[in-house]
Amino acid sequence: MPSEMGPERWARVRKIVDEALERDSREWSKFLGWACAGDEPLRKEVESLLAERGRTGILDQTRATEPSTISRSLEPGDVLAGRFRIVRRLGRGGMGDVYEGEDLNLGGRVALKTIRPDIASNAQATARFKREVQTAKQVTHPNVCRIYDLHITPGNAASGEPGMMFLTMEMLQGENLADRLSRGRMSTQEAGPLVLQMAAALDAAHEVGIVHRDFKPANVMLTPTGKGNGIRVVVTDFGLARSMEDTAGNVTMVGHIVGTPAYMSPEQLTLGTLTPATDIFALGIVMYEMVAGRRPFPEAAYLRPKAPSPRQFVPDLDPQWESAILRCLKQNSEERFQTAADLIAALSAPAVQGGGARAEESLPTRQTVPPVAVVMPTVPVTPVAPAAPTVQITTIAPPSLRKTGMWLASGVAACLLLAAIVWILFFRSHQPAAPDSHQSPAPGPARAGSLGEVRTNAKDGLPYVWIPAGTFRMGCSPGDAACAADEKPVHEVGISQGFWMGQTEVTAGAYQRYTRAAGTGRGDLPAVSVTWQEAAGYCEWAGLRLPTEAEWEFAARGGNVRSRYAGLDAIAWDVDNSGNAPQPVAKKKPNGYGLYDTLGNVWEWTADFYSSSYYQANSGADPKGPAGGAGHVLRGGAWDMRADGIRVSARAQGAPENHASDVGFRCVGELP
Amino acid sequence: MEASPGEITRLLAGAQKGDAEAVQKLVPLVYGEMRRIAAQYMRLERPDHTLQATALVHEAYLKMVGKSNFNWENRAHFFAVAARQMRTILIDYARGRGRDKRGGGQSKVPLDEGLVFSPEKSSELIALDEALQRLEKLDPRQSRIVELRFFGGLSVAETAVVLGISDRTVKREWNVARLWLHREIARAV
Repeated sequence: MPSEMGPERWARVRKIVDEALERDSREWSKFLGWACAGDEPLRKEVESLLAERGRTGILDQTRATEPSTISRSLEPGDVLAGRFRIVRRLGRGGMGDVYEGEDLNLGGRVALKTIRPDIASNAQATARFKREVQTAKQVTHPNVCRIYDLHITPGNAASGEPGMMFLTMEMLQGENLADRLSRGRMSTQEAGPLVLQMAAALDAAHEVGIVHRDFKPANVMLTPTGKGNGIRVVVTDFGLARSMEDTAGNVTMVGHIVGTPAYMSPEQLTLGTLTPATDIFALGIVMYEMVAGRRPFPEAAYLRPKAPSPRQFVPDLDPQWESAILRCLKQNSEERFQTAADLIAALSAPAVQGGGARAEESLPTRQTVPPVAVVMPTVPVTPVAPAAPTVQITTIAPPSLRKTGMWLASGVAACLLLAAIVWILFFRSHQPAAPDSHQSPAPGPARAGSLGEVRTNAKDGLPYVWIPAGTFRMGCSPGDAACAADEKPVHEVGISQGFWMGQTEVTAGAYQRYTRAAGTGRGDLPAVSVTWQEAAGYCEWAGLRLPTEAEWEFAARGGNVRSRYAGLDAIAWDVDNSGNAPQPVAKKKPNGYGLYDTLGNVWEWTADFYSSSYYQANSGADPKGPAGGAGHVLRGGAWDMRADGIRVSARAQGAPENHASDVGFRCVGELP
Repeated sequence: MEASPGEITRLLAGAQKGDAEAVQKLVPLVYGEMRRIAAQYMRLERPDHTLQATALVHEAYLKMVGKSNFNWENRAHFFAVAARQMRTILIDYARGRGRDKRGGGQSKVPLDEGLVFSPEKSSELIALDEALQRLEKLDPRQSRIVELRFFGGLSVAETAVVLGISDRTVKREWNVARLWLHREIARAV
């Protein structure tokens, strides 16, 4: 019995098991009889351990021994196989790293994908991988990334240089769809041509019996066609795909589910049989994300309930898109579109309902679906000859696109003009603030406070301080060398209404009152492990809201232009002074507005979606962030960060369903 | 308390000689770095990454020590220090998930989509952690071998260097511990 096991007993058991393992299993019975010498419980214990020999478990799966799962990093200038000179690293994927390389023999650029040593050194995995490459090479389609060759370089035993395995592939310019989506969702006009090309790529692969298995925005490249605004979509990374004949599972990889959980179909999560409908499901999630700015299922959740309609988030979404997306997301794979071509047909069918406006938003009619012809790599999407019905998709869309584009352009101009007028009106009526100076106090509404005033919110019992209206320079502080690209450019932002802001992060005590959860934890610690939705829910309960990113930075600066209003240790809990845990609020020096712990202690959720390029397009009064995005902005840094992350302009993001021990929040709004 | 690669290398050299003070100084540095990297994984900053014990430790090592100082013995000792921290971080994440599961409703996963953990794996990890705690009382060396290899990603040879025992001993102890742990996990999960 394990409960009676002590170190001495274990030492005996261990010794016998160890010796048994050195012997042939046919000798065990005899050996155990001798070694256990009539001690039956001992023999039982040993036998029960030896019976485990056939089991593979967690210790075998993630066992991180040699060969390493880390690819050797290559440096620019390194030459592989005497032929490919590394130019730069493009990214890192599940199988290894991807580099841009120069082909010294033929000239021109190629993408090089290194294969992780643990895969490269596993004979079975290598054999399967070679077959995959063989199959993938059969797909020649403009929307599928071309694979050139698989190279294996022998190692050098003398220098200890390990061998390498890498793929050469078509080098693609542009950004991937994940990058694009981080800037916000798309209209169906914008998404339409892209979806059709993605579907065409999948269809071409399905034709030759390949299921992608890991279809996701990061595996979709958007390559400018050179002329006009044409975009050639190229689906990459069929490297993880396994030819369908293998789904019986004869040669499985080290026991991992292959793929990316957020885009996995129910059958993939349950290790069921994979069919083209598996990729259709993933495409459905991607389409959802494109038009709704979010995915239908919680981040990395392993549950696949009925998907909520994307119209919940985009009320004016074309019903044709809605029904196509929801059909892709059916739990039962047989209820989904069975081929990507069917999806193309459904999206291209004449709109059943809706008037002119609807028709405008949906895609043009077409009859046949040879996906290969959807888009040619060398031809810009826009001005293709209008004859063939297959090309119609791309040729009919453009006039409306162009129209939309023009409308958009004039719309933007109008918005800017309006903003300028509002700006002038507003700031003329108030004292214009000199750049980098203190806020300009505004008269404010009747219930406004005054600078330095602290008021308790009866609802949550927390202290709130008054943040007056004013202008400030948002983004990278002068002289701050640690700024990242997303903190630039610095731009003038106005906060037109003063507001009350939580003087501290919402405490665990207040949060417990909100959730009515019984708890004995320390009430003065900030509430952490709160998702964005929960934080927003609390603020609403307290009669308040989450701050916009601009409000947060304006308030956190407290009139100060530097990246911190005083020395780091004096104002913030960080990785060096926090003892690796969140600390009670309001123990450090407050800022000019009386706010505590804006920097350090815990990250704070803001209302805005995150976009790394948002600052490039926005200045003016009361910016509210991009229309959509994968995550919401987190500000202020936390107890587990170093100095570089704890700066007033530093930005991070979190998916709305994420929570962590270093993320909390505070609320803003009006107080009675 | 930012430490330069040189300083880390010096501390590692101390740790190698059995200097307890060096280890004491190293632990919070390594922990902070790994916690920071893990937090980055979590915040979607690197959509294509998976939180994999070895990758994380390795990345921390490259950041703190750098490629130019690469040395197998240093690496082994660094990873040995990191193994315990890695275990804490992974179990924290696994428990976070487990709590949500029991709390009902949707499971909220603090880590990014690329994560290779499944819910089953989280409960397995927690079971492993608990079994390791029991094993530590029975046989501290075996428990440490598993921690070094599983959470620290050390090879048999590196584990042998760190613990000052032979490769063969590491292998045999590992084999027995593996059987016991797998049985305990199977009983718990």
